[in-house]
Amino acid sequence: MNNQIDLAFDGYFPTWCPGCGNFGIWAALKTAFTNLGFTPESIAVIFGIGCSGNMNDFLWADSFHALHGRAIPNAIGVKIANHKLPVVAIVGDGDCYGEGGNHLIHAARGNHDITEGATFVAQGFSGDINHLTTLIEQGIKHRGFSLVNVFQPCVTFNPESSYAWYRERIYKLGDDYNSGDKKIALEKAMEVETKIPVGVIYKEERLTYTESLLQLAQNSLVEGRLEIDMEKFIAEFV
Amino acid sequence: EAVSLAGITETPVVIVMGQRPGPATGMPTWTEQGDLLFILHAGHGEFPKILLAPGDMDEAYKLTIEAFNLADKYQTPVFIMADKYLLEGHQSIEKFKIQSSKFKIDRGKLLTQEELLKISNYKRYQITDDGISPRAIPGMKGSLHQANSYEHVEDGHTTEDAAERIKQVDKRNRKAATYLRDDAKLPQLYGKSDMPLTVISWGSMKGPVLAAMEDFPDRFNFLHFSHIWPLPKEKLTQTLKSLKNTLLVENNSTGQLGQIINMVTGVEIKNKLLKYSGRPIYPEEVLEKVEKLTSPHSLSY
Repeated sequence: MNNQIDLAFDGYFPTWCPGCGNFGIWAALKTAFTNLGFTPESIAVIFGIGCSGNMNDFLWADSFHALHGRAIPNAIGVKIANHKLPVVAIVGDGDCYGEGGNHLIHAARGNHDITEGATFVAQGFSGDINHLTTLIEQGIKHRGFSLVNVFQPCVTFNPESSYAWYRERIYKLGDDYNSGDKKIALEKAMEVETKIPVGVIYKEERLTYTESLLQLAQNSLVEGRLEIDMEKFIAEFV
Repeated sequence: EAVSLAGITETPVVIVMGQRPGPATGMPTWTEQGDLLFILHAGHGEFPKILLAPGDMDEAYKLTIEAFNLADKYQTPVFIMADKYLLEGHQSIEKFKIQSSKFKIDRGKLLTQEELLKISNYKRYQITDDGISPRAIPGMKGSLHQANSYEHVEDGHTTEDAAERIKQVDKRNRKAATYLRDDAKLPQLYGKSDMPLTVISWGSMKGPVLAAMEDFPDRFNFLHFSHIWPLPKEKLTQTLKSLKNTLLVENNSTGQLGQIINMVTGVEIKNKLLKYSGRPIYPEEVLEKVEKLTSPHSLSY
């Protein structure tokens, strides 16, 4: 694996608390993007609001800093406008699971090809950057809605769930784990108290939203022509 | 939320507002012109907005094209104020009026890839004289920027700096001044000039008023607002002050266009025909009111 992060992805130096889990996530994202051969202009990143959302200034790419809970609808809009762009939404828990809960459910249901949740579900730990990087890469490569749920310590507001606390509980799913079985995946998802699984919890292949639209078969919306022939349209009324 | 977001990220967006009687669920299958002030103030914060209000099918077609052009030009939300009466009404119009060759799609300062490559150090929110910055879209080479809901500097990075904040607020507000200079339209006068009474109305009430005017072509004329915001203050005040008498006709209970006119020009329209039963205004009702205001006893000359 190439560990050189493309410095073009760097924005301002972060204002997160020293020890914040977001540093690990930031590193993993930049590495994943670099490994996948992206440049800051070849992807679209949508940020929510919160400490995770503050990454908007630290990870520099063609990006949109959305409202609290609304990163997903904006990401879906970007994907529909230009489905050839890789789209990643970077959100926090209050942001996405709280205010944005309904958007998460519908994005998963529609299998919108934005990396955030559903036909691909993985869990990672901000303290294991290399592993998290591979999960992010897999999520981006997956065709459909992918969610990478990242556990991270918050040294300021939740010091009990420290790096040590997480390291006692986290275990990697082995090569023998079957990520195609939804029942097992649901059981794994419920493991949060004494042990926490990380890795690809669930994965399935399903037509993405934009793949199922005939209008996008040839071109993305952004490439399409704007003019239409009004004669055809008004013919039925004449 | 989204309107305010579009205002600060300077994202072109056209929103059709199909008004029905409120508040809340109100009477969802009836009609009213009750949300004009609501839309005028939609989205917290200060940013330019354009409000158009088509009066018939012809305007519905033309103003929609104009709305998209304006949204792209000013990179700000544009509203098409409609109502159930217009949206679910049927009308026949001459085919030539909607043959597309007459209208041009204008994307404003949207950059092509070629143009973008010629710009070094592209800045999405570049300060310009007219307040409008050249716009690149994601995926293009040289387009790197962030569309930021937070206050930002020219390249999109977040800022809370006082001087930078002032620059961006002034820039966004300047777009309204540019619109007033380049694109603002005065209301359209229908009928004979120099009448004892002028009916003032907006949007879909154009139909009923014009129908009434067919019966009384020598008693009143009609000033119809299809462009409601921003309003050119001096020219509009002049126009209003030149009228002998006025009657505000609106499909709501508080005379919202009248309030906007008063706010901008200081002119208050005292005579009002306001209908808010959920039904559109009928020509007979306009005639009845005009009759009262222009009968020999009420004429002031």
